[in-house]
Amino acid sequence: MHAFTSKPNDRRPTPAEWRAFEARLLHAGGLGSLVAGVIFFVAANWQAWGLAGRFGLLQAGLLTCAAAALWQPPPARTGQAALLLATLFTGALLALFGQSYQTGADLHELFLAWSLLALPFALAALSGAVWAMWWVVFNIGLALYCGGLSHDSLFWLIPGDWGRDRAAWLVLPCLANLAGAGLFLAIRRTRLADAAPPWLAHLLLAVGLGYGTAAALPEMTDHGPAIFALYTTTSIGIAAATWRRRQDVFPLTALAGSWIVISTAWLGHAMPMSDAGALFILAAWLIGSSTMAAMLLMRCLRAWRTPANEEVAQ
Amino acid sequence: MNPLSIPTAAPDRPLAISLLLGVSGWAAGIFVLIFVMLLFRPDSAGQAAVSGAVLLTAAWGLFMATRDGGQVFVAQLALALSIAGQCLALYAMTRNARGIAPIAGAALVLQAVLALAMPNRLHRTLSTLFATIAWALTLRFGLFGDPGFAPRSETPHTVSPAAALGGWLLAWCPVGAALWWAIRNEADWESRGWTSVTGPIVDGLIVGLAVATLASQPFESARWLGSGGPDGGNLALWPLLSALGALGALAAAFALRRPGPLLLCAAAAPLHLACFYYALGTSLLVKSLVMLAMGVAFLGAARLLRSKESA
Repeated sequence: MHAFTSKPNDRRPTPAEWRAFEARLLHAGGLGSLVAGVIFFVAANWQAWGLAGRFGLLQAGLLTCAAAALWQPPPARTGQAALLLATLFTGALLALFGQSYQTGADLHELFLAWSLLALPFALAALSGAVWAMWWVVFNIGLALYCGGLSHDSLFWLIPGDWGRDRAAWLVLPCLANLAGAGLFLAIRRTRLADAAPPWLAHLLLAVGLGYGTAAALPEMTDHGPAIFALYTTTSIGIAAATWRRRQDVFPLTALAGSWIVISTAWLGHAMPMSDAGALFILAAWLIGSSTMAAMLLMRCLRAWRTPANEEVAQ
Repeated sequence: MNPLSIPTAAPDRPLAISLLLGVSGWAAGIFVLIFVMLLFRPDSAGQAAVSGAVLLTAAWGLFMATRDGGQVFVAQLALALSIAGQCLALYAMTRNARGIAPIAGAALVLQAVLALAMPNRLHRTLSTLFATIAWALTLRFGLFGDPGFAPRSETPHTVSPAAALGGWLLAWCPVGAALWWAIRNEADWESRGWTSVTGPIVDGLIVGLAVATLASQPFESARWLGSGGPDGGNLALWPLLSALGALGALAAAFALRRPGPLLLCAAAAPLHLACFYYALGTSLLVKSLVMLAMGVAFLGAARLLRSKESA
């Protein structure tokens, strides 16, 4: 059993499980610290290196990673870690190229090109961590393209300056992430299941539904009815597929959360918020809808409970 | 009957459903709070105290009525009433307070009482988490003052490394010690029937140790959010210690077999690392050397463990 997987109210970890856990924790912490240390070191000395030095450093790093991945190819951990670093070096090289030669490319083009160039690494790595990194890059590219967030915005995901027409484009990252989640669920049934951990599908589903929720909020777009209909259809599809599989309640939980947000926002939009009665109705709606959702979800959880499903749910 | 042995709701609830209920309950609580303020206008501390006490008592009664966890609606209503009541009670307790430390201290007392008194698992976990945040803020602002409330020229606010370390240890060692006690005596508190109280409180402490250490970081370390430059003080020490705290919380979650808190702890450690990168007062070169040294030490220890295992 994976050392990081555990069950509540079960027995205490055995000494052997403790040792395995400690070794994994120290290994992960050590790798993370080393990677962070290298990034910090490069950032600290960035101004001191000339243009050739900067390109040389990043290209050497990329080549070293590629060599390490060829020496110990995935699913060996060294190869996977090397490809994770190679993905980072690819982005750094692209950024340096754009910075040095003023290509005039927009920031979203950098991130989308980065995701395209790093796709072979993600495919070869057979690792959930590398795929997660790839999706982060791809999602930032999509967010910049669709949302028009300025490059110096502190929080990429706060839609501070999204205009109404741009909001319609939120459907694109919504569908891309949901398709990704579906793809990884399908991969789990193949021999490449290790490359598609359940948490990754959950993460993509949550991000996709987050975009869909933002798109379906009142006054977000001039194309409201069409977007609303599309998101409703997509939600019904996800719910039906989850119901058919009877395995994991997370998609239904995320859908419930999404629709509670949407319905509360629409209720608030329809009522004068200075009225005490409106606030009472909103509170009652939030309590009632979340209660109903939790009761149904717990009923599904208990009905679908098997040892294999338990592990997916955690 | 042992008052600590009252059964509380749904220990097998997945993290996602608990989050759904917790966030909805919180949002509903804010609406209830504004509703009560619009309707009754509790302007004075006395009026707020009465309103808060009524709401908290109603919440406690509803939780008692559904302590077997079967009536989720009642529990959600109780959570919303409790949150509105907590805000009013805190307002009543700190209406004339100056500075953050007394407000945080009052919040700590309130949350500690609620963590013990409210017979609901989710409420106890949330109250414990907020109590750890309040504890960190009380110590932080009690020891080092409120840097943002006075002209900067009047309050040069440099924290010495010894003081920073002492403050952090004072804030988080008791939390770590409580978790250590909980792990060592798990069988004991289970056999005494205290699981319904200690279980959610332990969950709250684990999440608190993993994420609430952010509350221990002084505002000076977050100058990159707005204007102002670095003014020294070795502020980078704090997020690094917080990352170690998250790793400790991760170990506690593993020891007690808590999957939900374990996930949150695993996500918190990289978050603290990101804060470390941006923390002012220490050069990036020193930070990189610290990270490299830590990486080598961790990997060496992992290798040592594995070699012992194979031997």
